[in-house]
Amino acid sequence: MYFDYLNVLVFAGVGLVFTFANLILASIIRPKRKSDVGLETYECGEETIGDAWIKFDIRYYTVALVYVIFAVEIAFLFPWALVLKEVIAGTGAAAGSGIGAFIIVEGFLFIAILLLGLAYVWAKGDLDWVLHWDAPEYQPPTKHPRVTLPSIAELEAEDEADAEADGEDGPDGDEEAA
Amino acid sequence: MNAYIEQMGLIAPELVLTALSLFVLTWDLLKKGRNSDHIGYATLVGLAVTGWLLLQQWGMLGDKGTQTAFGMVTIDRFGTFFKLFTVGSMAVVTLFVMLDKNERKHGIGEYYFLLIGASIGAFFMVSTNNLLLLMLGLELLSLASYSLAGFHKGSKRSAEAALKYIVFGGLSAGVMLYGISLLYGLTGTLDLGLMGHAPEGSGAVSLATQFDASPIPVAIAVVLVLAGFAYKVSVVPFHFWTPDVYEGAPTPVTTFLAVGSKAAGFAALLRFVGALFLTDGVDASIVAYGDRIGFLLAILAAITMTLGNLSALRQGSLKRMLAYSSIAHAGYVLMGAASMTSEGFAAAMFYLAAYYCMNLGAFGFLIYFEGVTGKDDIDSLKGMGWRHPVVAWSMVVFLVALTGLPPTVGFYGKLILFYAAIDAGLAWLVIIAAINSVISLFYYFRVAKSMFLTEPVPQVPMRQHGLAGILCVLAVVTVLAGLGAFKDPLRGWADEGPASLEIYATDAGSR
Amino acid sequence: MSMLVWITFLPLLGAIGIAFLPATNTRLLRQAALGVTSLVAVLGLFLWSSFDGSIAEPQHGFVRDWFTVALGAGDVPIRFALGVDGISILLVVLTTILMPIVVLSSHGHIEHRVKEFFVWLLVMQAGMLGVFLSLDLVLFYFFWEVSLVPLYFIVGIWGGERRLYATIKFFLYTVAGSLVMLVGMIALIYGLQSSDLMDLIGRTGELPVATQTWIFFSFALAFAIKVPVLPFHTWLADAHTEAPTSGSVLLAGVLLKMGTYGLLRFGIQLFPGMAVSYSSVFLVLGALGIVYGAFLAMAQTDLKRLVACSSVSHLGFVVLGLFALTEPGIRGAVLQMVNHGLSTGLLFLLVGMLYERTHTRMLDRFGGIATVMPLYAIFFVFTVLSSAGLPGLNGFVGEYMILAGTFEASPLWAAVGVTGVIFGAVYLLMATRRVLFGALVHDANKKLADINAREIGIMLPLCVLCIWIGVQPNTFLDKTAGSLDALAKRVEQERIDQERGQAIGRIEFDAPSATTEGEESR
Repeated sequence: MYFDYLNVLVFAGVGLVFTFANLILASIIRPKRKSDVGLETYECGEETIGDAWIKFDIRYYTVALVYVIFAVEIAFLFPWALVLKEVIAGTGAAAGSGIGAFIIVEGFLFIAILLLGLAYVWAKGDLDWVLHWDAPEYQPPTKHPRVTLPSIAELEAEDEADAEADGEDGPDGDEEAA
Repeated sequence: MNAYIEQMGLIAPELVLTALSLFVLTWDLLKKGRNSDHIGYATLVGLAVTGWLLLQQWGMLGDKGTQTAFGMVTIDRFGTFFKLFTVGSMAVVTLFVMLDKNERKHGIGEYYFLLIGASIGAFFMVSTNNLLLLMLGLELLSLASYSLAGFHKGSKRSAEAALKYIVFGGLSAGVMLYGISLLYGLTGTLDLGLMGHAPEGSGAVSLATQFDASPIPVAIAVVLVLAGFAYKVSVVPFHFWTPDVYEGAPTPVTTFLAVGSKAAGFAALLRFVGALFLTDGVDASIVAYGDRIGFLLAILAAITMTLGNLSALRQGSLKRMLAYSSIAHAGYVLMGAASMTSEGFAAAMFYLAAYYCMNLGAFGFLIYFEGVTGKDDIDSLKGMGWRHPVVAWSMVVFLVALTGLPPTVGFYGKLILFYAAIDAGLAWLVIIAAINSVISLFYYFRVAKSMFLTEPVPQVPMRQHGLAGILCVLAVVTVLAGLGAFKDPLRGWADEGPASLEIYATDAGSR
Repeated sequence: MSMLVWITFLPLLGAIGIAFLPATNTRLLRQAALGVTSLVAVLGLFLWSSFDGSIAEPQHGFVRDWFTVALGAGDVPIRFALGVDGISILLVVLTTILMPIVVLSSHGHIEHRVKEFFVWLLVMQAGMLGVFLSLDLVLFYFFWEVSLVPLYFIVGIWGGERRLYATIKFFLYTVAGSLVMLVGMIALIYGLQSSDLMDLIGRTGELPVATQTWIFFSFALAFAIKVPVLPFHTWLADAHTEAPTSGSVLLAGVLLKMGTYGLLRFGIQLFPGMAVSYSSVFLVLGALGIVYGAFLAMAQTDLKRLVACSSVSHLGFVVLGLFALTEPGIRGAVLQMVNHGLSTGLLFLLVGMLYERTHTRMLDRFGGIATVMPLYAIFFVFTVLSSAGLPGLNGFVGEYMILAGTFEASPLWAAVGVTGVIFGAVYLLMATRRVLFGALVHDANKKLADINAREIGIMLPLCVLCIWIGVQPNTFLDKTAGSLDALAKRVEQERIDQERGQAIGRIEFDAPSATTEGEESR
């Protein structure tokens, strides 16, 4: 038997008895003086203000999630480092398997993928504490950075193109509305 | 070192998918969300490469599976069968996303990234004998699915879907993990092969031995793990999330959940049950126990198909109706698992393949329909048949297939499922399934009725030729597979799946 | 390639071809459909002439491996097996001949969505022919369901006012029955490790009696719903009434015959022992169906519904004759299937023609039609007499043989059946009087045009066949003789065996060890 159920039962039993015996014992021997102050919740001596059920700023969660990336990284890199150590020393299960270089490449791949995740978060602006709600729309870089004045013909062509684009947009919008 | 790189070749499809997912994400980031179609095409190319690699793999694999990554990953035809269909359904879903008018407004790069991520999870889920990796695959699939379900950030229904999904999913994952930990405690191993049959000196105890010593903990552990699977494939007592999530999630995502995710769940379920209890497997002492698990699955199957079908009867929304119908179909597939024979497993696999085909079609129709009318209730389908004939007739083919009538692959799938179940002495289950088919007929043909038998209501005529083309192809495949053009190879593949599974179980025993 | 393959799949090819024709060119569509069905009809006549009625075994066989299923001891091959024998030849030829007529008859009332109509019609023809021709259980089921879906659309799209209700009812009834049959079929294939009909016939006795019984009833239920036998008849009246004329003709002419054909093929031929044991059940249901159907018909005010209810009565005769299990009974029943197809088909055509002119089917809206439509009246009276069983016309031969056969088996139920002939005459002649004769009270009816050449052309071949069967039934009976004689002999042998078994106090249905060994060595 891998499981010795009696142990579990005894463990659970002792735990329950310990908890409730102490509570009951305390209620028997403690002095009983009822007052309003005794009914208040307290924590480290501070008065509570407001309700505990409030909305936290979403940014706390974002940061927590970003933190998880690195927490996980560390959790996974420890065993990796141990195996790498064994490989270098030529001991343990990995002895003679010749996977040293392979392990190192894998480790860096892993970190690279996590870094990509960080880059993603960064690029999406989730690392900015002050969020830019009204960020200007992204403008593609023009081929010719120097400002040149368009000719009249070009301007006219542009207007026509705009008019055409509007004409196309109109029925599309109608379709969606329908 | 070379040996390891060669072994990595076995998981080349997974690696390609991983690279693809990172590529898609990065590209989208660099392009700042413009040119989403290019990302779609890139995804399709990546999926095609993956599919090609899988086909190569299929050809190289014999009857026997092979392992890599220190026994964590098992590559066999059983897994490859499901991977091929996952890739296929992913490709179709990708096309749906590209063609769905409702989806273009949102961050498309993440969409593809998450879909591919879910597929990677499904890949590992179906190709491991190790419960730990199975659980990891399942979680990867689930996490991606949770995000996808809530992808329409502004929509309350979508948010509700994601929340429900994650709460139910978290609970079931916990239950399943608890079961796995019990199994580990009982047998001293996480390897399903060793669990099924542990040789001397392996340091593990086979579940059969453990069952003889203490049946109740074994039963509890197995039932807990099965509960986790049951959630993933929405078998009845764990199905509550299905309709709400399917309804709230973006429709292409629903398609993936109903097809790819469910099939992966079934693959893992079949592998789990097969490794431990397949009656024509290794250990004679487990047979009686396997029969009992089979009986449990049979009862679940009966309840699932009945409840799914009865609930589907009352739905006004096509999307919800399809959700309940997918629950009912989980019941049919479970029939194959309940038969506890290789034939039953092969039948379940074949039915899943058929299910891929017809459900992709049905959901594709739903996307088309939502694009045209902006609604998803069956009454709004009125006269659709005459305004969009190609799509509507394709839908009729899918409905006929879902009901299980010839000449479609749905009939054939049901037929061999029925055979397998009768072969396993489950005639009562077959009768229940037959009655259920009649019930399902009623609500499936309500759609056909709405489309063709009622007069058209005026609506803006708008066609999406791309989507219509895909649906048409799927319908043709559904019929041809039923008539036999694709059926026999498919059947052969499905037959080889459990064979590789079973032989592998024996092999693991002697290792 | 066997002629049967062409007969079965030509309509399907035609359907695919028509699907690609332009939907607006109605004339072309009609011509194409007529061409395809005529071609099939010609093939049917060839089949008829080359069929040797004295042979009991199926002819023109075509067998290919289809797929295999792993069941129990080994792989069971499911084969694509077609063949025609004395049981099916009449129905096959009837189907092929009736189809061009159905296509022609659609002119008056199928005006919109013509293309879809013909596509479904041809798919349905392929299904029906497949049902009669297939010699493999799974293939039979395949065609059985294929013939079902088209009717859903034919009734549902081109039907009358209450078509939705009728469609759903008909569809649910039939599919429920056929799925029960599917379960029985799989159990049978599993039990005997074969799905070849000719192989299974004669081997069903190897199964335990209880298994035989439930499989027999699972088949019987499906066919009883399709026929329909008495308690399942309610879908028929609705479906018949709401279907478009051509759909009704097809329903009456062929689709209901699938039920009686199934009862004969899978009830009596496949399970002769069970048929003998439970024949009384079907005799009672058949006889009650005759009387009840007749009473229902008498009570109708809707002409089309009246004809539909008369179908219940007429098919009661067929069931009665089949389960009399005597040679004249079975032969008469097979002939009566054809008779009913001809007479009731004609009646539906006539009702349809009248409806196209008056847009009503209510009996009280007619009266005195004979004065404005004399040609129509001639055909109407002829058909009614044929349906009522006037000597010299087809109905008489069938009914006479059935009653003679039934009298041999059970005088009581034969007597009940005879009353059906009388009641039949009553409601049919009553309907004739109310439609054709009396005063022309409704002004709208005074300007009715008489039937035109096309309509006469549709009905004439059927009338000729009616007379032919009435005068020279041996032309048709001879074709069925070989198979049906053999069948009757087998059933008789079974009856004697059972009586002997009861006489010595035990029945040996269970597989004797000898046959089991024989099966293994094979």
